[in-house]
Amino acid sequence: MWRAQFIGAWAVLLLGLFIIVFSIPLQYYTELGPGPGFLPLLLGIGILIGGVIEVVKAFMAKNKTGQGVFLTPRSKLGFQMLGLIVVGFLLIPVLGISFGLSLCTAAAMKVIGKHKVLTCGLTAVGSAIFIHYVFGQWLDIPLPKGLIGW
Amino acid sequence: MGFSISMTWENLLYCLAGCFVGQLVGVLPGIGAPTAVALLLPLTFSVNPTSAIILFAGIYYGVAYGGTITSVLINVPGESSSVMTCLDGYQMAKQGRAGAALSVAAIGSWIAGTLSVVLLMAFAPALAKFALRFGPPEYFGLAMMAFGMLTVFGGGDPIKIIISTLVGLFLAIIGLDIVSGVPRFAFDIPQLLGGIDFIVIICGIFGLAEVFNSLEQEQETELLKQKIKLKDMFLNWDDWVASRWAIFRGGVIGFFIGLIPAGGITTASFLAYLAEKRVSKHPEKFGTGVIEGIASPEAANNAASISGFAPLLALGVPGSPTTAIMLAGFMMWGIRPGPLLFQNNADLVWGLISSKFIGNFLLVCMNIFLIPVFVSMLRVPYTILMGFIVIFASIGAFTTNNSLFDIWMMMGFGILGYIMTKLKYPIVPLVLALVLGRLAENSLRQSLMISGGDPTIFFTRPISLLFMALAILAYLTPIFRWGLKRAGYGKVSLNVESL
Repeated sequence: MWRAQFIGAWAVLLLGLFIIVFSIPLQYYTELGPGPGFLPLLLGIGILIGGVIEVVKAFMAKNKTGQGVFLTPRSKLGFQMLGLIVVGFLLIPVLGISFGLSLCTAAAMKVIGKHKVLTCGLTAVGSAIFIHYVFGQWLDIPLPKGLIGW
Repeated sequence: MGFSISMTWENLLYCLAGCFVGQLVGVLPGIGAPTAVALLLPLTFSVNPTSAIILFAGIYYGVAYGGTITSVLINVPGESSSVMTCLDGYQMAKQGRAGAALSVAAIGSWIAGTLSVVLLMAFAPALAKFALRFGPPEYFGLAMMAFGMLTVFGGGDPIKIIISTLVGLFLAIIGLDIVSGVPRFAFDIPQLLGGIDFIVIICGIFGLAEVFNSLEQEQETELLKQKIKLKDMFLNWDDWVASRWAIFRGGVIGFFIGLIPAGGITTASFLAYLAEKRVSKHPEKFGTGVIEGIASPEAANNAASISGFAPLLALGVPGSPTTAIMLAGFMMWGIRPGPLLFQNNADLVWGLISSKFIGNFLLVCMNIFLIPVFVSMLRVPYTILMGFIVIFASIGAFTTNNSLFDIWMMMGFGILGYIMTKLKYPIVPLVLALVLGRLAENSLRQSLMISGGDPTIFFTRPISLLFMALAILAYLTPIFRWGLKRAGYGKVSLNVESL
């Protein structure tokens, strides 16, 4: 966990630097008053200072091993879910949002929840119908359609 | 006037739906009030704003009721605001008094909730009238005070709270600058020119991140195998005598904590429990199943969830993440909360306030008669629920601009939310800063334009000075706490974690 905190602190510090660098070209002050770069620059400085403090705190931490772990054995479930969501999103242009997201849900139930294939299949069909009729028809949201027109 | 609006069939149905969903959300693990409101907000684009806000208000205070069920029956708070209820509620359930525990929580919440609505009716218009005096410096001071309060009530590392707030402010300013029209941090990406939509961020940071975090947590909990009959739900005379003042005290504490920006319902229930323990004749019994230990925090969290609407409606400043999302909803519907809301949208304000009377009554009925239904919901596996959270979050993000780009961005924010939670960077300050970011920047720039660049304008006007002084005090609180701790004054933290 210490390493994760350390990397996180550096990420904050770099974000602060990034904001400062990209706010410098924006006008800091105009004849009317503060310009578009005024607040971003202050925010960048604030985040940078915060990042520096966190980096220093991480360096000075007495116990660098006993702070728990960033990734637990159960973290792989989160990564599996993330992978399935990415696949689901990639399928949207092909299958439409109804079937893309429903398949993602069914796959997650099977892979992570170890539910029966029939349960997963019924959930997929049910949620596709739910999305199509509730969101697409009733709420009139122009949902992306796939090859089968849903 | 309010009842003529809230008593229409349409609004009654929205109120009932909100209370039911809120109760359900409170019961189900891995989904909280902000997530529920965030996921449902995009679906209310075409709904009448009054009905939509009645729905969301129902969810908000419904959650405060629902979280109690899991606290009492499985010793797991459905919501952070029900943490204190676990202490005595679960013990009472183990003694075979789950019905009485749930009942006192429901009735206490109803009494305190109704008291809070009455106080809100008196207080909110007065606050709005007072806020008519506010100019840009006062609004900037108010935003600073709201951010500062997060370091007092937020819990956790104050530096991380400040970083989280600053990141939220940064996200809020992405896109075209309103004054000069200059794009900021858009990097020639057309979708970023209009800024990152708030809904995209909250769907990711609350919806998806919640899924990733919940999957990591072990959820093996044992439901107490206890049949709760209707007659178990009625309190006996001793219970009434023991809990009546606890409900009143909890309600008053909850009402005032809810008025503070970032005060929140969790803090209210925590302080009410501590206060009750302090005034009790038998403090040593707290934690062993005393009814006051449930009555007071439950009354407080419900009262706070109602009074939290006062700063939102009268000042346009949210007091909690859920009301922050509702503020975004107001903006989405083209309504600007603040002092003029009471004049320009009186029907909405009074319709909302009067709906709380009805909602509280519906919830107490639900909690007495529908407990078995909600208990059965506890058996829904999270692996089914998470799929629906992903669906709602994705469609919610899509509806903001009808663009797949937003769905991918929502996923990015989901990952950010997950990492922030793991590294203990709180999410709430980011959300609050995100909502108040534009207000803070505009009022800062306008104030400095008025004063010709002189920052003392924030310290020379009395109201603004008061807000800035409170903000500075709030930011200095961690240093005071650290000093007191070093001086040997022990636990001085207001956080739930300090228990």
